[in-house]
Amino acid sequence: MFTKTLLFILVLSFSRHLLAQNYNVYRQQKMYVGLTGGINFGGAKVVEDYHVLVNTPQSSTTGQEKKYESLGQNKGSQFGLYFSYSFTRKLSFVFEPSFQTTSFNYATAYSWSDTVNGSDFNMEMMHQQKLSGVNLPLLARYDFTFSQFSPYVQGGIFMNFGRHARKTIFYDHTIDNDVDKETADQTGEADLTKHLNKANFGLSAGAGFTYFANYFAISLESNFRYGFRSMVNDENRYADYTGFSVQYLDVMDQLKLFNLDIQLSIMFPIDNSISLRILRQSRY
Amino acid sequence: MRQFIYCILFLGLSVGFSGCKKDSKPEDSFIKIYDDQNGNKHFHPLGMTTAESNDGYIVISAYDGWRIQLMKIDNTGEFVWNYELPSNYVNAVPGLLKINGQNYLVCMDAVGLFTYILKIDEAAHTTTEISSFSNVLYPTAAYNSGQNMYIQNYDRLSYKTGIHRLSGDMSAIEQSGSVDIFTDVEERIVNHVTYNGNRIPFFVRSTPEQDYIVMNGFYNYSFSMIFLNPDLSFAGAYNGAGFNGGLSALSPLGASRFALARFSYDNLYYNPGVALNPTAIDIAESIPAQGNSELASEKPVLIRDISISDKAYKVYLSSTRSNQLLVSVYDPATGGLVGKKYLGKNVPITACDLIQTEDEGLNILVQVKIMGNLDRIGLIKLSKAEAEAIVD
Repeated sequence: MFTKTLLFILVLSFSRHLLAQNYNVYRQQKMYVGLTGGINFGGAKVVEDYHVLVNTPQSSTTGQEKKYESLGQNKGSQFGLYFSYSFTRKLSFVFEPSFQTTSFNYATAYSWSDTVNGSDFNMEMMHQQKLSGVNLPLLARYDFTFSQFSPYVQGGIFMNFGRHARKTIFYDHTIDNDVDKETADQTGEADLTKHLNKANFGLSAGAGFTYFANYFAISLESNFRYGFRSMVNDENRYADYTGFSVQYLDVMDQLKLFNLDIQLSIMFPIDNSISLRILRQSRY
Repeated sequence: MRQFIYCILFLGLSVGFSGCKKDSKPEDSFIKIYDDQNGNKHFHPLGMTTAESNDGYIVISAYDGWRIQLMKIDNTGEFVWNYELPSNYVNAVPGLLKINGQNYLVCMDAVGLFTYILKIDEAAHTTTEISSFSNVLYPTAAYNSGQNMYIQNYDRLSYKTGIHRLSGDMSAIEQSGSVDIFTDVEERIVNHVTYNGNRIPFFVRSTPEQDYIVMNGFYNYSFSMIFLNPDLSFAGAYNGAGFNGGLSALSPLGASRFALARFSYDNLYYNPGVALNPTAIDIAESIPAQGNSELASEKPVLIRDISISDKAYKVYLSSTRSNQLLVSVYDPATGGLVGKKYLGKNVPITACDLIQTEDEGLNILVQVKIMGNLDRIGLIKLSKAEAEAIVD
């Protein structure tokens, strides 16, 4: 459904763009406010890995390494406000404070053999971490055209303040690199907040396009954000606030988080003049 | 647009190239559980001490009942090596003995039931037999007082609890003593050495003045704490409630004062500073002590001397009925409780040993039951800051 909506907006934008070549967008020293929202795909980069269960020569050959899911499998969402101010006709600054939920998952598997009964005991787990917080990106945006349909790139910095983090473990007893969340057993949702550092900062870069109508504008953009700060609190890594450490042999690696978002924004110009019209007849 | 693509590519490549994992780094605080694929193998950690080269720790454990495993870990709890002793060496007594910087263990012959002393060869990852004592059957405890080494045993032929002081090179018995049990307790001893049921808290200690040797063992139809003179002759005793009561742990303070834990049926009692008369014949239940109903009396209790922020404390380590560990810290001068900390959640954890680390943290050796039925060796390290937080 979401894909269809995006496609519709794209087609609409292009068609309008083709029909409106005679208009330029008057953007200089204009301020826009609006709303923004969309989805994101989270990911984690391991800086240091940690284990509760220590391998010995008598350990299973089943790897105890955590296997992190790829970017596309960790979904989240965000919604917030949009502010921009255009210094020139092509260059503007954008501030998009938003409330963001993001996630990252990893899998672990363990196996023990029952030498008496000739059967194995296996445990495969999918660890799901959901994080929420406030994202404050401040970006410089460069529009490639003055026209109604305007592609742009943007880049800048962001700050993120974590508000809450939760963790759930899904598990089954077959090691097949697949834990079906629909059928697998699962733990309760545990509070992970104290295991994570509250603040993060990093770089953001993205691209998109805007369709400017007479009284509003719509943007579709995608941004990649990479946080520079290691997010797991080293001091209480083993404090086991979730209660999962020994029971599920889980301790978090040291991580840096990144995500890729796709979001739709609707903006309205703020102008002191009588008319809010932002389109001007092209002189060329 | 091209610039943007370059920018994204650069960022992506940076993330990709820096994505390689690095090795784990040392931590001040951690939980480690040492794996073994064999689901039928059950480990019972018995003690830990610093390695001969001071670059880690040696852990002694029992597995498959009375078999013995040694394991070396480094200062960060990472595995270094392990060694399963040949099957003729069984029933290691709790704890390792450090003598002149070298580590020794006391164990039993699987067939003859007599006592061996083995030296741990850390370089070769093996053990060397130092001596054996064919007339010392069923060793139950060993102790190095700093001046002498003692071995306690049960003599199945004469129904006696014996104690033996060894020569300096541990090749011979210098002095022996014994007390009468008057009844056959071999079934209890066999269950103890084979880990079939609850373990019995045998121990040997000496007073700081070296005027008495104290041992916890069977005596006079009961499980008793027995005071012995330096020549190992009987001095006095605190008899337990038959075999259902007695001392769980003892740490002498000097001047006939002791920090102790005692049990009576399924209750456990602490007294971090009590005066005892070494020449009295009394019952253990008469020793005043504070009951603690949340503690599991059948699990080991450890009393150790530690230093936090340059102040000496007595620390008690025990297991709760709810499968946690309880670390209780007492001021040895006043006997007052200055702080306590619970460790563990959801999974049964049993206290096995506790030592203070060089960085002023605490290493707690535990038995952890993972995945519901796998008894494994575990190590909980509390950092210096966490230790300080207990007494704050």
